[in-house]
Amino acid sequence: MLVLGIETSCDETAVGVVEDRLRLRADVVASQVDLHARFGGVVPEVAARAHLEALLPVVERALDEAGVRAEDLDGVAVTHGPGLAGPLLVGVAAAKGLALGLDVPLVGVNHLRAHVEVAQLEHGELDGPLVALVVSGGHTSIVARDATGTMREVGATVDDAAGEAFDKVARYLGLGFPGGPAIDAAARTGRIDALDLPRPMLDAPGYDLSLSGLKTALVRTLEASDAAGTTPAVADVAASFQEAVVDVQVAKVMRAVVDLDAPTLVVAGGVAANSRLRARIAAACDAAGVRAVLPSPRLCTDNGAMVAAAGANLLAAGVVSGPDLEADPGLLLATRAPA
Amino acid sequence: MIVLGVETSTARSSVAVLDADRGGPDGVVLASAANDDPRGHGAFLAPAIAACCAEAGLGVVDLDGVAVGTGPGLYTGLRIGLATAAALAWARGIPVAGVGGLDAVVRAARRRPELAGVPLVAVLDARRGQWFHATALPGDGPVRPAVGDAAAVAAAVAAAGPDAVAVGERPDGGPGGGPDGGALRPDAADIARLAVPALRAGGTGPAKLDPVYLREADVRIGWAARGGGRVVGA
Repeated sequence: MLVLGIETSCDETAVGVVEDRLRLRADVVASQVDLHARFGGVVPEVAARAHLEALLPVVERALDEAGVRAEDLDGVAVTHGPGLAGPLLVGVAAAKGLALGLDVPLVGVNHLRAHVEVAQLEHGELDGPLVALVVSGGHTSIVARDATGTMREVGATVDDAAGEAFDKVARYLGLGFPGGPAIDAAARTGRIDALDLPRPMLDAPGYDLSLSGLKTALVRTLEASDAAGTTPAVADVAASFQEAVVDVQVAKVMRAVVDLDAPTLVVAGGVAANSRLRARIAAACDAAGVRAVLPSPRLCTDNGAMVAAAGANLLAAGVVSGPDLEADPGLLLATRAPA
Repeated sequence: MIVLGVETSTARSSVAVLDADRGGPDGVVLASAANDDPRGHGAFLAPAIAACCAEAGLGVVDLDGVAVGTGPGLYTGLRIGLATAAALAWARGIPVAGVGGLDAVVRAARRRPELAGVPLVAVLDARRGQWFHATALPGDGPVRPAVGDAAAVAAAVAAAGPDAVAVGERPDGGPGGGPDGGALRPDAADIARLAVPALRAGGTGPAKLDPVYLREADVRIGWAARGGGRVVGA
């Protein structure tokens, strides 16, 4: 079974092909990062225009990379939310045209679910209960899947997503966009305890977390050190901020892992490419005797293979969408996962 | 030649299946559907394509070409039509061609005897106090769209001659030549009719379907406008 997956929820025009749910056949991403860099963030209208231009050529490249023809496909999967409305609509509209033209099922996929299930392409079946941290420019969510396959969000940021917090701080520090990789790189030579930053909501019950107060605290701390003539090095600022963000996420997700007695933790989303977060998650899982599943960085950032994988799971479970599938920028995590 | 027409660039979306080999220059509309929900392009389009094909007694496999409105118009709707039409044509390996929405307005207006032989200024609402407009003299080919305020539309009408008439969605809310005497918006059947020569010549290829935006993208980002940058010392 060959499934094509289309991802246009933000600033990557991405198409993947997956065979028999677990085998990655193609993964092509046309990034718009250069288009948006000068604005310091993703501009929805700019992204939507670029998606329309790039999409069919990216589909062609993906089929070429997979070595399959369009008429070999058994289904077309597409991210229909959550994400940016204009960009989502381009992918959904194109997917409908492909599904109609090829006379194959259309499968609407939740972006967060796709980020989690992409792990099956590198780690095999994700059997049993699991907890996942989905962390990106638009999302910071803690998701739980129980033994029956039901997936639900158990915690999330109450304000900024982690990637968003990195973007804002990188912009403030003059490190450029996207902020995550910039801060990760700058932090490598910095001291993680150079600045005394808070760990918001760390002791609050539950799995929600907050990141916007951290940026404010960082700005105040830097203003105070500037006034005192003790401005710290960029590397120290980046390392201290990154550590605070990572601390909060690791604490909250490990709490969920323990409370829900999950044997597996999946970390996914663009920020899962952050080297400090990966190292800290691996260490925490090791200490807790939990299997850590970390997709390779290229499958952590937005890609079409993850949509194809999640779509293949749904298709295999007999879940398909009608031609009236709508883009839903605020789409909640689908409640039923395939068994 | 069986042509699927798709038009989603205004508040009114429509789909038509046209048999271009019968019925003279206008062909025969085998099935059509329209929707007036200004935000409903996405939910309407694909089901309407399937329903129109079924109503015409055809499958998507029987289509020989796809015609799609390329605007200018509402950006989101425009992209939905273009993305769906291009993908469908690509998947079937059939030609696709784009047609300007203002050309479709002119084509429809010319069917009214009183508008058949006069200069027309086709106008469509561009929102935010702006209007897409284009002047068409009798016998003209495709029009050249522009965008401007209501005064620019009035100036275009004045420049087109004393007997010139504004049609489409008029800034003054006046009769636009529509079926009920009101606004006249581009229709998928006219998009299909206007595309027939290009489709017979092989179409433009899905990658060459350029939307006509006429305006730069709005680049406001909520948070980007707030707070200045700062560079921390060495």
